[in-house]
Amino acid sequence: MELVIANLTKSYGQHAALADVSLTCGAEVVGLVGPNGAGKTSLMRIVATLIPQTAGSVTWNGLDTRNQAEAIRRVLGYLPQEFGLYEEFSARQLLRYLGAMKGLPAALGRRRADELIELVNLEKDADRRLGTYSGGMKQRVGIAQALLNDPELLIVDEPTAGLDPAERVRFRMFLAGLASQRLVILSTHIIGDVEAVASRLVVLNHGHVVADTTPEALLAAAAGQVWLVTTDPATALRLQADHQVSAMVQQPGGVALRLVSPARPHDQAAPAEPTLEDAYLLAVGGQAQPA
Amino acid sequence: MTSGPFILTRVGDRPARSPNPLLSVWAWELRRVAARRLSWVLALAAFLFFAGMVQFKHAWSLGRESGVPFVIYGTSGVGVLYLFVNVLMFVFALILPFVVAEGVAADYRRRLHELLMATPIPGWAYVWGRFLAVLTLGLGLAVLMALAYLLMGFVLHQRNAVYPLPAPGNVLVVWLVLVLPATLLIAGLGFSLGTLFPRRARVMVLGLLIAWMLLFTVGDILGINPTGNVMVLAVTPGLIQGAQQQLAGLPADQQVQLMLQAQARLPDLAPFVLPQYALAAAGVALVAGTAALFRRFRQLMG
Repeated sequence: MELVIANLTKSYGQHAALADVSLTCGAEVVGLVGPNGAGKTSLMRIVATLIPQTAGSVTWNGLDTRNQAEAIRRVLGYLPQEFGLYEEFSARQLLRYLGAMKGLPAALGRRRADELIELVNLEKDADRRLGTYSGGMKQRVGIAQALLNDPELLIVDEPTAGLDPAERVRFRMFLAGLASQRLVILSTHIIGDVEAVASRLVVLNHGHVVADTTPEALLAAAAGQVWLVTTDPATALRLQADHQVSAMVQQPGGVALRLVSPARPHDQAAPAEPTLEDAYLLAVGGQAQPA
Repeated sequence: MTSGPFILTRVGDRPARSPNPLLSVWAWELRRVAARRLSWVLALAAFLFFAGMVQFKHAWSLGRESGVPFVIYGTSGVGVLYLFVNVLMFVFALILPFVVAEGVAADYRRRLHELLMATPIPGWAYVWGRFLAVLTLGLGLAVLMALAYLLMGFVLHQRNAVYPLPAPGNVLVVWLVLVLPATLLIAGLGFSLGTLFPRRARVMVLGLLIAWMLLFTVGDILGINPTGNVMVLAVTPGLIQGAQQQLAGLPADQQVQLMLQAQARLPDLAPFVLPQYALAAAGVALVAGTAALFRRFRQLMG
């Protein structure tokens, strides 16, 4: 089980969304993070055989995305960031429909649909029209459809968007349990999701891989570069302009800032234990806003 | 999500391909349409609309300038052709593009395209399956149109015995020679334009409607109007000229009997079969071209 991305480039006119990206992944959960416009969606769409690359190659177990796409789609589960549903269908009907499109025999498609409805906690509403569903319920249907064909390669873009905290935690647990037998590529702005389930972290920025590491290693690299300081509003504004700020809280005694900086940003700044979010901000420089 | 371990049925060895991807796309699309209540409401509305059109226009008075008008009754052998060509098909052709143009384009508009294109359904099966589905809907609409005609023909006959009972055989012949090929042409054209230009599918429909109205009014000159006006133009002069000389001076009831005799039989439509089905073949060829040109990623590029 191996995904090999070699010298991948994707351009839209003059704009390079991906520039010479190379990665090799096995059975694991890969967290793909980066600021908006970093190239995450382009990368996932190319791996999912949805758009062609400009240069380079992507192979899954030796199958090339350009000329063996159908074979890859048979083992692919994909959840895009934005998707619609046939609102006239119920969740059960939609899953059976997509099961048929994925080539599942009818009986197996029905069974998988029923099981996934149970997995995403939609049994009570499974026969209700999707047009009546809330955003979170639709997201759960989206997650279920990605798993219909028991995918070996699962690509999910912001899968926990719209889920309540309890559902988010359960989804993370489920995702982590999948990793032993398949490759899961998880793109998200929610660093907590990556921290909870990803064994590997790929940070993209401006179409380049700026970090390919483990969450622990990224955290370790951030040690000694995170600071806490409480100061007056004017100084806080100046610090905010000169340094990356991962948190800011108005307090009775002033403004409490959490700063990410290689050097001590202020005389009164005290070192703090880095979080993965701090480490991510260090990796992408000034491009990202904390999630 | 359920908490704790959860065991899913293994999919096991995957088949090389779904055994019938085309049928799968076709059947599921029809199920989807059937699941929408609005589809049934629109079908009923179309039936009532067709029936209303027959009620609105079901007789033609020709050759008035000669002082001896010849009346075509909409339920006679000639009348069925008149009614389908001049009333029902015109309306049908205005409705059909709305039914067919979004066979694929609606997935793009509803943001389902990306989900579907990530499945292993082959592009040709997706395009042809969706075309078969919209064609089925179009033909269903055409059947409703014929049924509305038969129903209203029966009602007209009950209200006024001068109107003969409509002959189902005549309706079938007109349906096969006129309606079916026109449906294939319009469905092929509308579907292809909507699929190749999904962002502009509604503009395409509007363009088709304008083109259709132009064809209906000026297409006769070119002899390319698939609504069948050429058929009416071909059969009308001989029918009127032959009968009008005999009508002059006869009492009204005898005039009616003579006119009914003259228009009792459906005109011979055999000469129109080949040209009509050539247009139908053009519609299918457009879909074949669309399936060949279809690129599943094109709609995602923007």
